[in-house]
Amino acid sequence: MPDTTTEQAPLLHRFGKTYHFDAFVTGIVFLKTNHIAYGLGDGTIRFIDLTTQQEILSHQAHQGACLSMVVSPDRSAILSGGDDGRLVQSQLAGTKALTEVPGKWIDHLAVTPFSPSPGFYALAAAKTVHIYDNNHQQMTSLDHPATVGGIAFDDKGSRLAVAHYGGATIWRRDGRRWISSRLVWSGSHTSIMFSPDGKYVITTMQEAALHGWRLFDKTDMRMTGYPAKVKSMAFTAGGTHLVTSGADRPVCWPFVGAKGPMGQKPLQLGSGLESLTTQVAAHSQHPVVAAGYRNGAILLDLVDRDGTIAVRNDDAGGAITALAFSPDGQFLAFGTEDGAAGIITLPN
Amino acid sequence: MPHPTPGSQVPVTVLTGYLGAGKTTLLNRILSEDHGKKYAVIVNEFGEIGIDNDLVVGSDEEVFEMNNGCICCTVRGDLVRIIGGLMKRKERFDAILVETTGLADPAPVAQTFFADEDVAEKTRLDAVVTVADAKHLALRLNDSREAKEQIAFADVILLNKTDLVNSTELTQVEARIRSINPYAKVIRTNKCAVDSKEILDRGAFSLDRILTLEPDFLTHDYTDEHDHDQDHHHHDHHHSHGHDHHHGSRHDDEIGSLSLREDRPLDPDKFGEWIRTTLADQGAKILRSKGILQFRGEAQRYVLQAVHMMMDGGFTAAWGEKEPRYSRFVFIGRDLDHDKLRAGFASCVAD
Repeated sequence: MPDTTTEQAPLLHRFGKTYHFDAFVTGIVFLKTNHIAYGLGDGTIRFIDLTTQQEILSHQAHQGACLSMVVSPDRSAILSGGDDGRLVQSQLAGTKALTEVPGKWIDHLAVTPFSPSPGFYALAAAKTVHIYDNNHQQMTSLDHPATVGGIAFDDKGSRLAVAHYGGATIWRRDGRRWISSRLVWSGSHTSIMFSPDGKYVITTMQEAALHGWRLFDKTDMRMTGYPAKVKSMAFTAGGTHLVTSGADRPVCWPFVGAKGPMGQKPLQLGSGLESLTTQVAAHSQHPVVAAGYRNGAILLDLVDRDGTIAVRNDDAGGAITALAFSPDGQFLAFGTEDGAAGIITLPN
Repeated sequence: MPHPTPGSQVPVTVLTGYLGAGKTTLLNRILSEDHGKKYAVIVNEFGEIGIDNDLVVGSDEEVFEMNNGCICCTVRGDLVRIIGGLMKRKERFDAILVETTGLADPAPVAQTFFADEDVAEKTRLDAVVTVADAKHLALRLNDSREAKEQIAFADVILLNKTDLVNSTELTQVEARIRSINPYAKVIRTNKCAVDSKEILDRGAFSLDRILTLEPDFLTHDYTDEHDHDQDHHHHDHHHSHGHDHHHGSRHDDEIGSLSLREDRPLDPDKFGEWIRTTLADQGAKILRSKGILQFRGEAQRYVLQAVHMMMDGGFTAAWGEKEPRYSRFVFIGRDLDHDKLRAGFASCVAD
């Protein structure tokens, strides 16, 4: 990565290609076939060939909006949930409805890693999480006291974390059974993730705050001070920091040492903008964070030292609603609420 | 509260009313009018009557307390989620209609539009419309806290099923409504037959549209000889406390209104301090408040409205040169301390 290059044109102009989908971008997924897929508010999944950077295909996966989107455990297909209550699998060859929860929205999806087992996935509809195996056979259904705000598996696929009103539920897999443990914290929890080492679970909240728990003793961790709701969070390479949206620059909580972020102040990366971050993404190998803003700007910031690179100018408009690095770290892809999208090939 | 550009936000109309009052009938009336408009409908219970619209989203009412130490700061989590989802769709809606359950407290619904930044950015609460059954409302008001709150919160009240009562009963039930909420527009209907223009795009929460705070029966031309004394504490209704979770006197469940007027200019600092303290201390009991204020040395009106403790205010139109200037403030709430509120308002007069 070059050092601060504020005088130069944004990376998108130099190393990027833009697309116009004309619908709210709700998700981005990288497939192992070297394609990228965008999920949109018009219910379509758009495929772009990363080699040619051409849009090659559009599948109508959902009647209304595509609300949630993940890559299948083996990264060969896209799983998407919609406000039509359908779970759809999309590949280049076509789409297939896997299941339907009539009258409900499928707002949340989560997958386990492919290895060591073939992996499985979960969907949330209203208060229930349904878990399916690699052959799309339902393994179990798990009920919760309120509508599910978010779901996430740990890196081994042995635990499922579910955010809801009043806290979170951790389900531990024991053979064919799932055993629950409740984490209590007042308020509505709207998304959830495990730390990569599996020791912590963190939620975003209806308030402008995060909440976390150290799992072995359920110690609470309050992470507050945001001017806006936190809509996006990600762990940086090596799991050293949790980067979050909701402020004028990426807010980065240190997760090193036995106590994690407890008693520590967060880092505020870069110089920021006169706007608020809506999406963040972390590079898989380098201590680099991408931040998308409400005004449409995207910046790259370094975690361990000063340095900010403009990716997209703020005059482009449209809040950033999806932002993702490719697993190999070569590409950064984004989408906006106006349907603008782009792929940046990152310089070494 | 944020003030995004007007026009970009989708108006949301909230339909409340006790079970059987005719909410779904009203909804279908609005939807079946030949208006060429596109609506999204959010319902919290599917009744026996179907809803005639392309997009009907069902959900459970989930009232969430905000984790900010304010117990009356509640929002409807399901609305946050559903409105967020609807805004991702490609189609744009002319309006969103939310039908609540018969037992719903309207406050969390209204507060959602001020407390949630995403909802406030993309949508605006247009009005709370309450459908009341002319025959059964009096009974409901006696035994249900929610029925009273639905009347107290309303911007528009459809006094429905008027064919089931005689004119004396109708006058009585309307007087009862006025004793709780004199500021709502009351429309007498049979089978919810009303032009949707009377219901939609009211701008009831829009500061620019709060031009007068006259009680509705003074600004509408129907005759009503009954005494609309707003100090209703002498009314001797029987109150069941089945839904009353507060301890204390039987008047805890008594909802009424208070109107304050002052012709001398107010001191903006004194007023700001007073209204903040008043809503912080009594905001649990004060359901809604609105004011048009004349501040010393200001050419423009200051307009303010609040739902419980959530307040929104700003300068709007300038006073006309020959127009009489005044300040007017109204409260609708439970067991309002009239003397204290009067004294507090009077103390805001500029020196």
